[in-house]
Amino acid sequence: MEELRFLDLETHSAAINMAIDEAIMRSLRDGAAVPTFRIYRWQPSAVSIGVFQSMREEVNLDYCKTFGIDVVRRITGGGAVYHDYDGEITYSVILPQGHRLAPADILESYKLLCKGIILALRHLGIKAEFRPVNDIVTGGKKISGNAQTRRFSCLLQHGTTLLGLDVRKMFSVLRVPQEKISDKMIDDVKQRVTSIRDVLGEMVGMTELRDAIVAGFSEALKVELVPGALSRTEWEMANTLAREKYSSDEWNFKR
Amino acid sequence: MYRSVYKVPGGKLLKVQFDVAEGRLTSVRFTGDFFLHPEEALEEIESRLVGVEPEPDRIRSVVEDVFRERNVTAVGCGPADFAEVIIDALQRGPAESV
Repeated sequence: MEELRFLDLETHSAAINMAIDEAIMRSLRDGAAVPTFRIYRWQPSAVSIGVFQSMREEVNLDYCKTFGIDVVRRITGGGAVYHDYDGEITYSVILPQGHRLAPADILESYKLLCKGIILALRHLGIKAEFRPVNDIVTGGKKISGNAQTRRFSCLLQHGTTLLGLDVRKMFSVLRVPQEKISDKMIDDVKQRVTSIRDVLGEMVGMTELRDAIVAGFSEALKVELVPGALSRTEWEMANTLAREKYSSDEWNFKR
Repeated sequence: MYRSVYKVPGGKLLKVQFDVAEGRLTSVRFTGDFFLHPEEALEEIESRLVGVEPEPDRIRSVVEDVFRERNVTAVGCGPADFAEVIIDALQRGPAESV
């Protein structure tokens, strides 16, 4: 069976998490890494914004500073995501261009890779489906958001799957005028977004979600996830990228 | 400063801000939650729009040129949307900077 290097659930800062993705892509391009699947959490909790979004327009920077929430610009498009340490798991899959799991057609590749999360949710007992372009929904509500870029002769897709959802917290972190945070608005969001615990109850834990994601991606992609680690070169590159790019105002406040 | 926000039907949010100086577009900046492949094409669209007369046909043709030349794929919006959001901002007229 085809193999992917598997970097099991780790916890990092926002800058390191985004830097690891880029370091793997660069290494893969240079022939110094293999196709990789990784899952991770964010500590401190963090907001990531899409590559074309405005940091100041999307993120409540005062709130984030006060409560020690990281902010980072992704290299992928899409919207702002709040990555709560206790509330989600993020995955990344990094594949070379032309790989069986990286079709040239963007929609097709989202659909293929998102199947991993759909099967993960099925393992947990949640029936979910792909909603083009980049969402996974259950009962019409979004439970996972995904984003892709094609750079460094690679495809990167990363995405979040919500274990829990604290709408008030999400609104505090994202820039929504405070007076608009009404009960009605919170109800509206709950009509559009959900989480595993909203569907199944509070008992579902991080480990169960981790196990489900591993099983879901193995099945959906028909691959063997082989436990591995970043090479020393990848770590050095990730640390440099985290320091010089993903922690810099030049990058994070680019728009 | 001219600004406009466009919610692409069934798609993403596309925002633009720019100025007009001496009858030409300047300081063009798009933001939003859309996807463009390759991403660098956005900066090219912005820089190629600088110096262009604020005429709908000119704006449309600059955007279309970049899409064609760089073989750009947009997800959640289309080439026309980048032109239309600028044209909409021009029709609204200049607004005070926030």
